[in-house]
Amino acid sequence: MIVPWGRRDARLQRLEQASLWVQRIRTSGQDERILEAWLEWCQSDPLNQQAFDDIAAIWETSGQLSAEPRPAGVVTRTMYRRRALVASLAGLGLAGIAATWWKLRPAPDEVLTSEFSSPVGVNSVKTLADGSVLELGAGTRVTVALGRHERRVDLHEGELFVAVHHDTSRPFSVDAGRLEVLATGTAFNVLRTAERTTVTVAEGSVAAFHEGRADAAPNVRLQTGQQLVYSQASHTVAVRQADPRNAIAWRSGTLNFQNEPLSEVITTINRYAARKTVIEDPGVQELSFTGTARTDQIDGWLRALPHAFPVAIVELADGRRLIRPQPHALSD
Amino acid sequence: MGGKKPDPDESGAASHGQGGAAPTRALEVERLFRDHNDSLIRFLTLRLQSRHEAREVAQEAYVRLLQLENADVASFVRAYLFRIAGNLAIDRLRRRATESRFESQCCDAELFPGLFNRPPDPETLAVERQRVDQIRGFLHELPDAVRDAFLMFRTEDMDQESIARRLGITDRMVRNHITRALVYCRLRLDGLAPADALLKLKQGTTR
Repeated sequence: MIVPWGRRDARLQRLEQASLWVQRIRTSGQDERILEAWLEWCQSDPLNQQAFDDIAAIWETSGQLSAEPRPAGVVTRTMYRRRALVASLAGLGLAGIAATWWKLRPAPDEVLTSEFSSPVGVNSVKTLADGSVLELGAGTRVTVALGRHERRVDLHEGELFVAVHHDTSRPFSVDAGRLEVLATGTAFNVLRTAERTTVTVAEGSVAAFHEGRADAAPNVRLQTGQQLVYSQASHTVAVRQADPRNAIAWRSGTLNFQNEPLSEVITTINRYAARKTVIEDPGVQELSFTGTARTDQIDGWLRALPHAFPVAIVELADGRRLIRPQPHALSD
Repeated sequence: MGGKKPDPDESGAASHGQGGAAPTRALEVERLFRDHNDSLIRFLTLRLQSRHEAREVAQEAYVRLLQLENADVASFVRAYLFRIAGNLAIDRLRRRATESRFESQCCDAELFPGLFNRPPDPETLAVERQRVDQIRGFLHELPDAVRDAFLMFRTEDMDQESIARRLGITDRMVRNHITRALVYCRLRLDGLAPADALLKLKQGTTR
């Protein structure tokens, strides 16, 4: 059903009013004036009544959440991490005084850390207390630390799209192992696999810092539409132009790959599939794949793979699937 | 709708009434039940924190309507039903406060089909469980403070003042958090994507 905007805003207001009525009835429903006013509100417009029923239904269902433990938010005192500090100064072109700053660093920040993860096959969304929004790809694990002076997300595995709430006083960084991405107000995507980390900027700009080789520049500034690929194995960094829409298409269920080794492709595919797929043959691992996969049609994608590459899919006894070289094709 | 005529044989539960008015009254009450019972039960559930008691009180309210002396058309508007039910709920809460155990004094028999719980079939249970999981997921998409405020209010039975003290925010913010949680879950259940629902919330008055 398509509802015109004007109507939808009216609906939003009704839902808000209905939520307030639910709260009033819960806290002072014995007051007849409240009941009177509530009935009047409901009767003045059938859409009000509808909105109330819609909100009351949520209220009722949520009553069954009683055994729910509240997610663990742990207040810890953490030291500033040197890298983040030096990084923010260097990012401002102040590398020279970064060291001095480090010596004069303020008292340890009080930081609220929380862990979030999304299950295999399901993307999820998390709004942080600072207003930034994290969208987690399936099978992704992060730790979030929000302090007064710094906001940090550790991406342990998987893929992450961040819309950073602008706050210059609190740099926002995503740490993916040996690569760190720093932003103040921007939107970017980080994909971490065992082999490499890929950063794509959808909006604004970020600075990326990596523990690379000594002769490499310590940081790279990325603008909208640029993509950085960091290889864990060789500690090398490559920057290329890339359409950010492709990098973040996973948010709407499409995985895009551009000249990716098949091993990397499968790492991502596995985050969306109940059954894992493995490749043992190095030749197959290095096959270069360009194309898309729908996250809800992984099985079909795998079945189609032997049509595109000289490979065969073997069902293993433990439920996994093996992609192995297709014997005939190799013997040609 | 039309075409529904008072049936002389349709006395049933309305036999408390007087003479020829009873069948019409029974139909009116039945119409109220059909059109508004869900809302009434929700209202009473909110008040009494018990769906079962809500149904008992609702049934009592319908019986009162059927037994009204000098009933006229105005007696069968929804507001009246709700007022009767609201008063019965207040009585019950008062009695609950003074008596440790409250015995139902009303009606073992079911006035309207479907008013009381019947054992839910496995399919309904599965759907309900799925709905609970869905709401849990939606709540986790919200900022921690919003979700915490809502869960304290909803599942820990804390009042808004205590929640405000616990979270170190104002009463008004607690109210807004609870409102945002409810509205967000509704928007998500209506099929809005997370980003769209969040954007919509920002257009609202409670931030």
